[in-house]
Amino acid sequence: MKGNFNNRRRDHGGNNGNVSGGPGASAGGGRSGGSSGGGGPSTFYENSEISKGFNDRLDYLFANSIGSEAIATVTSGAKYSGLLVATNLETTNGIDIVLKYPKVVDTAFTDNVEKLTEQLGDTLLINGEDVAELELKNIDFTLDEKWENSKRQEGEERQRKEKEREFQEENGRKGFKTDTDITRSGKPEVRERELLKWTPDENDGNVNEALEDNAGEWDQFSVNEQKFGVKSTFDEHFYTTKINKDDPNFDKRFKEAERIAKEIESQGVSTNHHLNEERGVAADDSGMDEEDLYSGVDRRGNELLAALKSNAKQGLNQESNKNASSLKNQSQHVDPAIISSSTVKGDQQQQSHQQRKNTDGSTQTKQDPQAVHKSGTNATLGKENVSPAPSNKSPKREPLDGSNRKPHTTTKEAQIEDLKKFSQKFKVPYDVPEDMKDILKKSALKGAPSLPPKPQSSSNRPSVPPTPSSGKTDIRKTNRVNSQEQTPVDSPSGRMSSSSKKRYGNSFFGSKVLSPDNNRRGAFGKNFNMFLRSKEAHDEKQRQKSSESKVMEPFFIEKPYFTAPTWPGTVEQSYKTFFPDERTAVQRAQMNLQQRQMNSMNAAAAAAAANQQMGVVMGNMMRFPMGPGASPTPMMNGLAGNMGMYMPFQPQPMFYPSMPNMMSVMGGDDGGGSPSPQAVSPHMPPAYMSGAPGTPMTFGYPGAMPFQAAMVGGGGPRVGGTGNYRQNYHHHNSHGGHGHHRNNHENH
Amino acid sequence: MSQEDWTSQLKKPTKDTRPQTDDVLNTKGNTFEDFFLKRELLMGIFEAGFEKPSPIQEESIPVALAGRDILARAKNGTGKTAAFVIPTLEKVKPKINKIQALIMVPTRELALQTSQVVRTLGKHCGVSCMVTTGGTNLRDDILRLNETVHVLVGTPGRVLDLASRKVADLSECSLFVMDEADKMLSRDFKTIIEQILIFLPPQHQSLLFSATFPITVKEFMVKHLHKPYEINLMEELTLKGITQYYAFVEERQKLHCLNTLFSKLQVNQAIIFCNSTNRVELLAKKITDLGYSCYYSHARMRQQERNKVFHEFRQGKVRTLVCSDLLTRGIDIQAVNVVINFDFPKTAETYLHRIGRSGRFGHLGLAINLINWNDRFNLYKIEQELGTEIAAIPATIDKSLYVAEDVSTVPTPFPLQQQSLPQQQHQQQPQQQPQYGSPAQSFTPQSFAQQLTPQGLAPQGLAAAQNLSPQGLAPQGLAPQALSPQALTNGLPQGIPQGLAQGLPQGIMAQGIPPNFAAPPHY
Repeated sequence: MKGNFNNRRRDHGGNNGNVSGGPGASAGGGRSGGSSGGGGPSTFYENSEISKGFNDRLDYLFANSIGSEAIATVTSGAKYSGLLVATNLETTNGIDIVLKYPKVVDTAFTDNVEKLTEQLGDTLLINGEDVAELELKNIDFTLDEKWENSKRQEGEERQRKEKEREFQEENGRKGFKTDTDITRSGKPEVRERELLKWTPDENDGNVNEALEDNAGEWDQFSVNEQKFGVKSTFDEHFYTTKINKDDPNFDKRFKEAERIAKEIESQGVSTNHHLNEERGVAADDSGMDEEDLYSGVDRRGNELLAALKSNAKQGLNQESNKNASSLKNQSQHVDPAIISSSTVKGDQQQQSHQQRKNTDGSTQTKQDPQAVHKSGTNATLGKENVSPAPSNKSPKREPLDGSNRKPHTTTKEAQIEDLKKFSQKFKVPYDVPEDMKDILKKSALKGAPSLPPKPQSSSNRPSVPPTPSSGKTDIRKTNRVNSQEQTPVDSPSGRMSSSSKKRYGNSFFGSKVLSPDNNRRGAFGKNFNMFLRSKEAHDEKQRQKSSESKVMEPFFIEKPYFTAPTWPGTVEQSYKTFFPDERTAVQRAQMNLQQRQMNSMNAAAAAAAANQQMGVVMGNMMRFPMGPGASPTPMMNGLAGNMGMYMPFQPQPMFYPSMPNMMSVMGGDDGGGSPSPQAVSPHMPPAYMSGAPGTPMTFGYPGAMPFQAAMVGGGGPRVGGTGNYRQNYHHHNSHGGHGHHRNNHENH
Repeated sequence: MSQEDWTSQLKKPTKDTRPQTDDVLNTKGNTFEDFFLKRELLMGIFEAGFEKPSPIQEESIPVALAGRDILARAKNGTGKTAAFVIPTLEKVKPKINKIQALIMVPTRELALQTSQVVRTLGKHCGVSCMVTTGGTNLRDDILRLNETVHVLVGTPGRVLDLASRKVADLSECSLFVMDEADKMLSRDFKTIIEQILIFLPPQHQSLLFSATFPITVKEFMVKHLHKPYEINLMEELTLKGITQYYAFVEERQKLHCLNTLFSKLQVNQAIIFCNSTNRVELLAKKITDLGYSCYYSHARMRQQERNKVFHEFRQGKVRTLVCSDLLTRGIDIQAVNVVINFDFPKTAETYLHRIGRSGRFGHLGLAINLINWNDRFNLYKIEQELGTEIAAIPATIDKSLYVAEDVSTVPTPFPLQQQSLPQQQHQQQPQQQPQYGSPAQSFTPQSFAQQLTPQGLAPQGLAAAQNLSPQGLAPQGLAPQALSPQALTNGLPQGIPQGLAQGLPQGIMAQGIPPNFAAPPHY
């Protein structure tokens, strides 16, 4: 009867897998397995492929039927029922089956049911050749569903595990748990519930007074001694070491110690409450209670950090902006045209900033005032493009998202002031590493010329301490350059607002600053003379061009800055009345831009200008003339940005509490010193502006807060510029550009 | 000296017989000898009353000795301090005249306490440990740094100032320890810490300990720790030995409620927390008015006064201490069995540390929170964060939940008196023993008054001062010059001799707190 199985011609359809020979099967009983029976009509020809298909189906049937009820008819005609627990598909003659808990269903020819039943054990193995027919009922063929189910379960499991892992990862490697993690593991949820009122006992001694009743000063020691005889036995030597007063050098040491102690204690108010506390400085604790100070942990740590980081990122963006663009951009920013260009370029720039940030990495955060100096100094001023048209579209035009610029500036201003003060007092407590010395020297060389040449010195700021030696030369130069730069035109507001930000090299480099020598002085004079520089640039260009063509190169003398068109309306009106939304602003600006483009120059000149501007940018950043011809690729630009960024060794920030943070915040804006006139770019919603810089402060960020306090306090000598900043801030808030002008006047 | 010799000569304090919980008992069964510590250190450990290492000590000491960075968390009062002090003392080489270990803590009181633990455990090691915190004379600290200092314990601000002026030379300080690390890495302290780290040698070892980590310190770990070995011995946050209740009261009822608590509870020593410095002072006054001895402390007091309060309360001179969160973290006073939150704290970690002032080293304690209408959501929040539900206070509280059967074995912290007064104590102890009473009785004002009348003090006190022989103090690592009786009487005001000779043995023992420094390894 093997034919039954070997023929594989069975009806598996439906849920009732009745594997019965059926009439057809018995008809083919004589066929030998595998080969298609010769007797059958050749309508059905089994090649190996087809038979394999059938085999698979059979296998599938059996696999699914394991564990289900089966009725097997053996060759004797007897029928057995039982649980099918195993089948052997490999046997040559039919299929061996194993039935668990077999029962005799039909004895066929013999009536001896008992006898057969007696012979049965727990399991019954029927050899393949004995199986005549196998009937399987209610086989579940929906394995697909099962499979899917199990798959889904698996998937869920995996997801859960992944989640757990992620969770653990985010809570520190190897799952160092925070308090909430520990709590979360299998504790019942604590719900809000009705609290039971405490009721005083009837016969209680009646203490019916509040804390504040009958309050008054009291001395705990005397009261406790009087009432309870408590006397103090405290002596610090239980806890700490003794001072050796017998030392022969004691007097000397004593004096020295006193001197150092005074020095430390006179360091003034720090940004950090704990430092102030330990120095015995009474400082504003900003409403922190003792839980905040000594026990509680600020949960916002992470968010705060994130906020600071994002702030710093913004800062970085702006910083790099600074390096690439400068006052030129800023002053023009008041012009709707520039606004449009900047909005258009926004994304692109974001990207470039991103890149730059990546490359600069951490160094950027360490940015210090030096970098700030480099940005927005006269190099750019001198090179202001007369015809800005094409350059607006060049990638180097780094429009600023000036939104949060102003507030940053104010904070930073204060910080810089503080840093300055600090650095003047501070002595580097360890030796400067050898390799740093070189850098220090170099950067001093490079940096020095850039330091003063702002119009600052013209502004009268009594709060700025007179700087010794090197500082003086700086000032002198400043004046000179200044006079060159001063144009009859009412200077753009930005420059004036920058005037309050005066810094001196020595304040950052301490005593190690090199005073500029004559060579550098010469270079200084030359490099910052816009006429000389323009000529040089022109010559360079000419030389380049001459090799290719004989075209005459137009000679550009760049105004140090660009006088931006002011608003057509009066101050009282917000730009928003003119540009109801950003889009209109952009459109209009673009129109303006095009017009100017056409008016100002032909295409060739424009290209040249672009080049030149590029050179300017780089020169600015690198602190020495690179010549306009120097490959002005964006690549280079980025590089220059880097170079501009690398800072002279500045140990102070490390020791100054929260200084690194301050730097990062500072990095945020243009670096305080730089004249950022349009701190508030008109196209940004003011709300954002005020929000962004506020972030670190509202968090009580240690670096920022005291500054803010100081600023709000307004006008100690320390924050000499306070009044200005506030005004600036105010004006910016209220009516964009015009405020600058007013400010200028005030500054003058 | 053979093994038997030195162990038999140890002056071990009376064994603390109070029951302990699994928080400290669930160890692998190691002993201190298993760590191969130097004998001088072992002597100090055993004389401090330590018997076996607690779980956190068992975990961290070998790893720290192996030189790895550690980030560890273990519950309040389960021996974290000793877990870093022991490896510190083992690693410090007394012959090298440099600061070799820096221990940073968030508060001045905790600095004092930690320093005292270092000095106690290391009294035979010849290690000199100095405290430097704000609020003390800076000039004196600078002068102290002229002498030999091996271990510097301090608060970050002062340490930074000293280090940045090169007054404290940390260039050879290869071990950096932070207790209450979560607070130290909270944003206000972190900036200072990171600046201090600059002065340490680049290859220093860092040990960070705390009971709470409400935020992750991953950033710091990545930046400043080298493959830190992480120890987390907490399956739940709250201590097993502490029973917590709330009393839902009106603000005006708080004082009344407190008075009721005082009269009903068997308070050995209690710490009461308020949320503002003003309320601290007001409440302390009320408590003295109610007839209980009471000191108060907060950060706006002069440091000298703060130290005095801290010291006397630790010595068990007063029964209650009202304080702000200044003393929330780390303060270890074995005799405290009740903590009352007169005002409910804002954050879970504060709550946890506050109630962790009782139930030290696995012992039993009570924490009672006075909750007013406004506090209730904070209560829910903190319950949620801690995963415990705080029950309403019952009419009577089972004494077995927080009262020790034999209070006489509860140790006072102070080792120095004991060690400098061996003979007198031994003589007096037997006589005093029978007088031990229950703490409730012993803390009556009368007993204080009797014991501390001025008459008995002066003569013996001075005599005791003379008896302070070099043996007594030498092992503490004091400079030799400091050891002459002359110097002692000069340098130490009367307070010490008095306390040593008379005040402590009599006054304190009669109050049910023995003079022994029986402190188990609870630091």
